[in-house]
Amino acid sequence: MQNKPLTWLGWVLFLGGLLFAAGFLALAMGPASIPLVKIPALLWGKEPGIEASILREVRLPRLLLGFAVGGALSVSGVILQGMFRNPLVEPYTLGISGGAALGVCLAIVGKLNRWLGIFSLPASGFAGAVLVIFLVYFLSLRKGIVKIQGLLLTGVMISFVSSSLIMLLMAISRVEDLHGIIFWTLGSLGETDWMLVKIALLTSFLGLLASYFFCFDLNAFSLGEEEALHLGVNIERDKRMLFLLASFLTGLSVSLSGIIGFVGLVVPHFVRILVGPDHRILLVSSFLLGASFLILCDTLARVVIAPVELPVGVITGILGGGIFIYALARSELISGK
Amino acid sequence: MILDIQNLSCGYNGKPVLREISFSVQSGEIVGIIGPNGSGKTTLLRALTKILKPDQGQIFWDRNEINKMKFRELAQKVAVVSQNPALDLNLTVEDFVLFGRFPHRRHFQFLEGQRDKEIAEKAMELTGVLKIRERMLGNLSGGERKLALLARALCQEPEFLLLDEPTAHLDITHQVEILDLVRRLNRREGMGVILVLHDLNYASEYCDRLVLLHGGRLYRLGPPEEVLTYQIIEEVYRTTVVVRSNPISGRPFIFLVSEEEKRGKRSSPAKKRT
Repeated sequence: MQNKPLTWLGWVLFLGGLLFAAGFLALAMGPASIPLVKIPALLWGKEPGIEASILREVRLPRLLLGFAVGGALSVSGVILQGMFRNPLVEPYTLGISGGAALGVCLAIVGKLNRWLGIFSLPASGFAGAVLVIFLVYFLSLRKGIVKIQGLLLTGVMISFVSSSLIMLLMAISRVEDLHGIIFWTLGSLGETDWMLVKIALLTSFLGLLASYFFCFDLNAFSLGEEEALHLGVNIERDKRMLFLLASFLTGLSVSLSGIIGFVGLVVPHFVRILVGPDHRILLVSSFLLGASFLILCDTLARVVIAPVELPVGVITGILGGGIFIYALARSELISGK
Repeated sequence: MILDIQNLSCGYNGKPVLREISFSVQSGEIVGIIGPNGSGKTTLLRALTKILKPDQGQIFWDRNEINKMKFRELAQKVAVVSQNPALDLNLTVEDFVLFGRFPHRRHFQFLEGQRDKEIAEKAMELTGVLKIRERMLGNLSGGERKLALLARALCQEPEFLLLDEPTAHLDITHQVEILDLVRRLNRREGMGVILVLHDLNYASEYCDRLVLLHGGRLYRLGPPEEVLTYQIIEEVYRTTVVVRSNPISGRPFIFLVSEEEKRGKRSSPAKKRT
């Protein structure tokens, strides 16, 4: 029998290494490329200069935001796929992104930034997300029991309603607002305000930590709700807590970086193929790989047709989908022999 | 440990399925729950595991009222082998059996301890799945999967074992293997066993007492000899049967009588019904 903790440690070290490599690559590449060897000195040194300020004020916050959002979305995906026992569920299925997008659209159309400044979009996005979270939650709460299919259906319906409302807003809004809405909807890690980046980092770390209180319960969920009950899992309490946890992680990510699709769907799947279905290793591995993946995608988005920047959501979709289809085909070939 | 059910009524969405059920089970016993389809057998099992809340009446596990027990507390004492749970088929047998240690996990215990592994190993040995411990659940036969389920239940180190139709869809080798194992555990370790069974002959052979449910009510309760008479069976199941005693165990054995035989059309020498 192989040694489980040791294998797990191996995975964490490997994925951690990958994250570091992705991070350095993201710092080095861009319209002005900075040699890798100079990066540590520029980051930790005190000397002023163009390169140092590009690193510290543009690329580092962007890197950290990618880390936080990629990790948060992936953990949220693992949690939701685990509790729904449905591999197609992702953080955006539950209508949270729709709610956040609607909030942001209203903020843009209503010129909310006159009062709130740079916080207007994240704040209104988060408000929209929270509103949807509670709406979905209370609509599917019947007799104190969260019906898991009801939760899913309500979420999908709210997604549709909010995307229709967004289209309505777009149809009646002016051209300059339209550009803002579209740009935000495609997702971007361009938010470089340090305060917001720190909030994102803190929340995603806390989210990962909190998810570990439920790692055994998530494992038990894989046996089905009744079996989990037979094993002594308080599934009703768990479903509520996990739904809220995943939702807030998603809501925060969306409000800071727009709708970056596919990370929360593909990364958990891919990691499950790599490390197996045990949530004790799945959660942290997904966090690490999700963070690396988003950082790499963002780097690509910045350099492919530099100096013009592509929306990062486009890259995650194409790259993530492609890699995933390839992995799926391979794994089926291997297991289907 | 004693299970005590008092005046239990419960059902789904306010529609009662079980009405005014009362009986108790001692830990040294094997009790079979029998009855026609829809008579409430599985519902009773679900009430005993707190999945279904009683509308009326009470259930006590060892004098603890079930609603006052936490799921975890219940799972430390009572293990369930469900009929056909939708399991994650990408688990190895060993990982699945180790799930049985879940209710005994200490707070902030992250890895399984040596003791957990030993208990899982013992459970796998007892059920004979030790040699397939590395295989995936999805690659097992129906019988092997049932044994793995039983191993997981034993890994919980329960005082009471509840089995929902443990013999369904299995060949007789596996049926007898599982029931023999359950009886051995009951006799040796004093584990209380409640079996939901469709096959009346198995119920007769393996159970100390039978609970016969009919239309959601407790119709008869007693040893197989008292419950499995042809009058009672014909009344509850509306099927003509002949009851004889098993030449080896002396327990009642139920023979079916086909429609053709009833009309006396088939001319076989063994036709006489006395």
